[in-house]
Amino acid sequence: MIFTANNIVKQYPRSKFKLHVPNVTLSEGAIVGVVGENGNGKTTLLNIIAGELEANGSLNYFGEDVAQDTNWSALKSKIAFIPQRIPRWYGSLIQNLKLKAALDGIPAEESDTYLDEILSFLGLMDYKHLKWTEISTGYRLRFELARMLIGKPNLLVLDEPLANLDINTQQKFLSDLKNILQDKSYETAVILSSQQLHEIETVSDHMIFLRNGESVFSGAVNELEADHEQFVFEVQVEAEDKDRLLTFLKTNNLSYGETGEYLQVSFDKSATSNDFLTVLIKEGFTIKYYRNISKSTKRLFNQ
Amino acid sequence: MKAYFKKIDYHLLQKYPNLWVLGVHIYLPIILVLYLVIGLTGLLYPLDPLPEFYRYRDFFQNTSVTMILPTILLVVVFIIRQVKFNSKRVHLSLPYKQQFLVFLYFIFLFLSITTLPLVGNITAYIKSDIVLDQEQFSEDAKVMRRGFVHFFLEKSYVDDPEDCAEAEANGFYIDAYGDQRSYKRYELNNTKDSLIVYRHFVDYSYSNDLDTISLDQAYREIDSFIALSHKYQGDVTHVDPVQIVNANLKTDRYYTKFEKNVRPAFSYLQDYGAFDNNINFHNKVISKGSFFFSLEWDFWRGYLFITLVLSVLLIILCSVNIAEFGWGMLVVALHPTVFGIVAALVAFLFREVDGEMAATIGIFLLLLFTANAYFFAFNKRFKPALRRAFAIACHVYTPIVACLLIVMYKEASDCCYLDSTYRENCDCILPFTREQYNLITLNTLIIGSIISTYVFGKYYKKQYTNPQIK
Repeated sequence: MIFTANNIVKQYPRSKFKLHVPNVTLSEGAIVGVVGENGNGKTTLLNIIAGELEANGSLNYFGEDVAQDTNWSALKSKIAFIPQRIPRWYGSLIQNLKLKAALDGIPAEESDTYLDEILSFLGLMDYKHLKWTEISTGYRLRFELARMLIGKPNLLVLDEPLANLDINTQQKFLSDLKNILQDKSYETAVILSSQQLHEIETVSDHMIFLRNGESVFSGAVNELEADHEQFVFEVQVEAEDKDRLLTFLKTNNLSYGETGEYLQVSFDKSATSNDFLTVLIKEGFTIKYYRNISKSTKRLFNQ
Repeated sequence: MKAYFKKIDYHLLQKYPNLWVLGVHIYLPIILVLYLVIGLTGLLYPLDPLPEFYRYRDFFQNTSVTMILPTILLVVVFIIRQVKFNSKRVHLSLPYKQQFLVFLYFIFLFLSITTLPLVGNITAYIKSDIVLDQEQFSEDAKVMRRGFVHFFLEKSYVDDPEDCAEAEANGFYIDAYGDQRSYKRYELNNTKDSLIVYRHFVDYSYSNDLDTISLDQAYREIDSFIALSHKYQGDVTHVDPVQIVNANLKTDRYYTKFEKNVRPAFSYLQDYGAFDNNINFHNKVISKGSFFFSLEWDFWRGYLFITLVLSVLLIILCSVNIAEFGWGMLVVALHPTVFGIVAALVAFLFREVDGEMAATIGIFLLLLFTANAYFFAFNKRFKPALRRAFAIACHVYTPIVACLLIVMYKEASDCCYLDSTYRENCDCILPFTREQYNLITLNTLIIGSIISTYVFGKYYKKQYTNPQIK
């Protein structure tokens, strides 16, 4: 096991915010996603796991419990933390990577090949001679990931890595992460936070949903559906149809919530997603967006 | 050349990343080349014939002034490189021993850079020291001192022409300030067989002795001077001793203030300026301290202090967040201000106390304020960022306070130079000489900086890696 924690509690007396996560487990090859609204404790949790912030509770890294005499310096050499705001690199990108490799004790004669492997793996070979200011935010993130991978960390902690990335870059980055975990030379676990629910749920083996500092869900995405007695669907219709749809839902005693132009409709599991969609089409609604979020943490946002 | 540099850069980056971060392959060659170029100016400046001393000195002083800007630029560029490549993220990842070696390298590099403006002066001095035969000059000077009075005597001037007549009548010389002195400048004695001379030495050292020499001795002095002076560009116009002495005795030796130019009473040197410069040059080299700049230890102490301060500040900058460095500097600046205000208040309250008591109170206050800074730095009740800001202040203060304590103790007990009736409560018990105290203070500063950096380097590392402290 890479990391386990029980009963993590972190309290900020002045803001009265309290983070309470009963259990976090990160096993080798697994990706754990942390989601929740802004200010609900995602960054705090990741900082605690990355060893950047103290918290109450029992933490165990790589089979060893954290104690007063824990050698954090040695421990942190196995943890790679990419914060939301990545510090700027100076000099060429390859210079920085070589420096990290040398500082991590990679022999000079192996360094070039090793770095080329990582850069090829992440598709960054063509950009290695550029400078930080000459590459986009997405590439900066991927270069930072490349830098972190040099030391073959056992735990990758990524705070909002998808923020500011376009959809294609997000997909590419997440695919990189998957590839890293599939590569047996990296005995790594990944924990990342994000607001891109769909994308993160697609790659994560385990999700943690935080609300007001409390972990309201922790488990595989599939477990979400089993945990609830209703299906939840997200629907968007043409603007002129919205009032009619609301009337329709009220008439049929269907519970719903509104998030901007979207409606989240819940009903019991006797009907399927297709049944509901068929009814909507028959009623003549012009559907712009429709998604079954029963297995997504998104259903938790409006509860 | 560029390819060669890239090869070295690449090699260092991969094999010796710590050295690469420090930029040894950039700064050491630059410093070395500058040392060579500037050093060569001092070595290649021709000394045969000897140049005019003041122009020679000015040339190297101008070189020093010219080098000030490049020196500052080098320091700034070096600091920027460290901030870029040796920032907290890299620096704190180094093994601690290497972190500490980085500090020693900073001292070495800053000392090398800040002494650049002085290199020309140093090599010029070294060359002069080697080229000029100082031992021989000292021997020759002894001989030339005696003979010089027969070849050159400046007229002195007096306040009033009437005084000249009076002085002449009385055989007195009256100087510019009206004090009578019974110095005859160049006179025969009453029996006319000896010469009374007021020695005006070739190397500007004056004797208060009126010398009475036989005429034969005077002739010998003249011959000896002629034999040696040409070695120092002192070729003479007259060579007959008898003729020289007779001419000198006839010369009007007084001068009035109404005459605008000071002229020699007599001069038999073909180019007195060249001779004077030559002697002056030798003297400046021999006396060292008055050469181009002070070659004394005091002067270098200032350089060492600047170097240590720069090194300590830079190692802190590499070990902490930039923002926290800023807060630390604020504490460093404000703490002495508060100390100053409190000290002024205390001084006002205890204005009647004697010097020793005042120094004791000062030492107590200094210790109190240092203890206060340590209290903030190590007390876990305070926020980590605040603690680190005070730790930065402690890091800077520790060596300086240690030195200040020694200086204050020394000043409080240093009354030995006073007459015993003025010592009052001071017993004049100084275990060391002033020079020894200065040396102890300097060593305290160096050792204090090293120990302080060692201790606080560990502090920063622990602070930033251990979340239980953060």
